[in-house]
Amino acid sequence: MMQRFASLRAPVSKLLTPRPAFASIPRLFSTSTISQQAAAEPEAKTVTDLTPLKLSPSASLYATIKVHGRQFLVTEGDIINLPYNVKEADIGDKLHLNDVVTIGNRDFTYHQSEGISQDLYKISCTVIEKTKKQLSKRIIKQKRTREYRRAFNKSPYTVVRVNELKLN
Amino acid sequence: MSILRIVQKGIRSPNVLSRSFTVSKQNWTYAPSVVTPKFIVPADLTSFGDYKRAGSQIPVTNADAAKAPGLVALHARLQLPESFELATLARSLTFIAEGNQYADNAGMALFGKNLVKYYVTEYLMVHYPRLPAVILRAALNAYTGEETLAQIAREWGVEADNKSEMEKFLVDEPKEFSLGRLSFDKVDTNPERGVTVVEGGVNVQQAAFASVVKSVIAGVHAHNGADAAKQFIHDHVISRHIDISQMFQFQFPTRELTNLCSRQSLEPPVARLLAETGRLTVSPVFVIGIFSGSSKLGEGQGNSLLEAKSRAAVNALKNYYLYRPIDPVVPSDPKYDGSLIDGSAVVI
Amino acid sequence: MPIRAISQVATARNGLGAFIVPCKRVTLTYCNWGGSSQGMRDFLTKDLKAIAAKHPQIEFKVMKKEGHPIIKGEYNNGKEKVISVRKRDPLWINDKIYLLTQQSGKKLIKNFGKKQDVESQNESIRGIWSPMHTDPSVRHRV
Repeated sequence: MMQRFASLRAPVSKLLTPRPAFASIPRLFSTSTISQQAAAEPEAKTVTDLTPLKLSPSASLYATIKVHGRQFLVTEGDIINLPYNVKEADIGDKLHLNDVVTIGNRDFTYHQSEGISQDLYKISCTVIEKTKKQLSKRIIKQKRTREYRRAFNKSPYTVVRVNELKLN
Repeated sequence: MSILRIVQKGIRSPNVLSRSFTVSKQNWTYAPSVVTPKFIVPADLTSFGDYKRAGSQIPVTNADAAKAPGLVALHARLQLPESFELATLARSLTFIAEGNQYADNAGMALFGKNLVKYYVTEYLMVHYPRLPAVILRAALNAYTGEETLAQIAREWGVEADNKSEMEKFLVDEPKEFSLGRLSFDKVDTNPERGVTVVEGGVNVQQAAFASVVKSVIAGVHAHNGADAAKQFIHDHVISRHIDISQMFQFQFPTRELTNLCSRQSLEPPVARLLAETGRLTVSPVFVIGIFSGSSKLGEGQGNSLLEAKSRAAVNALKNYYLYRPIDPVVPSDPKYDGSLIDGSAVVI
Repeated sequence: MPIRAISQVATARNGLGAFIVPCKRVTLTYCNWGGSSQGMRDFLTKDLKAIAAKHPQIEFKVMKKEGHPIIKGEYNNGKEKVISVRKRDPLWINDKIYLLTQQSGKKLIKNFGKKQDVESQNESIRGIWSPMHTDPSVRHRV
């Protein structure tokens, strides 16, 4: 996943390159290792019956998704703070999350630690903010010396909102 | 801070130039009433086509509207289609006031209000078919009330035209730039310092901001059709968050539940202790379930038996009232079949 | 004993349904004389037009004002963010404008821990664990 991100890295002056308006371009987000595995061994697919999840009295669903290997438990309408700059996306871009480990509701849970087949669900989110944290200052010092230096950091993060979470 | 009952004095400033440059927002927020549109009534009352608005208001032209950068940006920000004219958007930003140069949004706002109320009501009634009327009204108000709609307009980036004519003149601002801002009559009520308005009066600013959302919805309906208007309302209004379960306030939940059971011809509810711990300590916990016959209606826990029972009754009532059907279809949908909910006859 | 309602105001969830770009205006100031505005003047003459065309949702406002140049972002929540671009080159200004357009106007947060990764308004779907509801045979005994 990381390698794929590196290869898609945008040029420095992104703003100078003309692009169509926001939200008109749904883009695939991180074709993960799971989908590649699924493509490699198609015969391993079995049809999973998720009727209990669909027809359960509690309608709301949750899903545990993975982005860059980091897990987030989300429901529809949630905000995810991704602790890095998603360089390929601008605000308003729609991302499809295709690395999902668990889908469940209050009564039932469907879990596949190696990833759930993408045919079973549709989870997407919109990038709503790309910003930075406050400036953090850190003093770096050696023991028994007078010299020290300050290290400054403003780490970027990306805020996305889950706007669709449903079973197919 | 002293709280007086009402500040009703509303003196409209005689002309725009006489207004002080440093008018604080508080000074023109509340007015005794909003200007209502006046109509020319025809001699034959049944000739409905001849009713006209009084006054000679001219519509904004598209060419003028295109010169207002705020307006063009707002059009793009709302992702309105090209067929939605800039002139319509400019009209949406003109709230009704005496002596308006351009045509105002009074008619559009009225139509838009009815549209948004219709689509939100059908959404609520179909998604929560068992809501009591009081809660349904409160939920409708939470989505389509003036406060919410005004909030939506602010989140769209709509700005009030706070600049006086003199300020605009001094910075040499083109006349068309004002079309991109919300214009309304800033009534100078001038309440004394430390006085809070408790009731009465109309929040003109809020009404003006809310009218923008209503008018834009009406504009979408006029330019792009009913389906587009419905989609717009779903995207901008119904997508917002309310928590209906927190809207209920029961005075006597156990009695309410007994009435409900008799109304639904269920067996009378019985409270049973399911679990408890530390009855003789300072922090006991009781878990009580409420049963009708063999089926459990609700469950609650509390530090006393009464509290737990009361919570269980509230939980049972909410379980009933907040019922949501699977795959609900609203009446404005083509595949709507009114007689069926959850694939069977309606039982409410 | 009627049921009474507690009124609410629906809160925004930008991005669910419609997405509104939070930045509504970017103001750029420059001085026609000062050397600290040289980069800004280059930027205004060469790059601004393309950027403004790329962001139709945002109003770009250019002001001639004596002193060092600044760029200011104004947001739908009423907040402003100002960045000084004194003695900066066009590329740097370009990056900062990109930053302003991508932000929401909220105050920058200091840090967020693992628990703040996901912000939710929804009720907990799986509910809260309760010791009272586990099977008595497997309950922990003191």
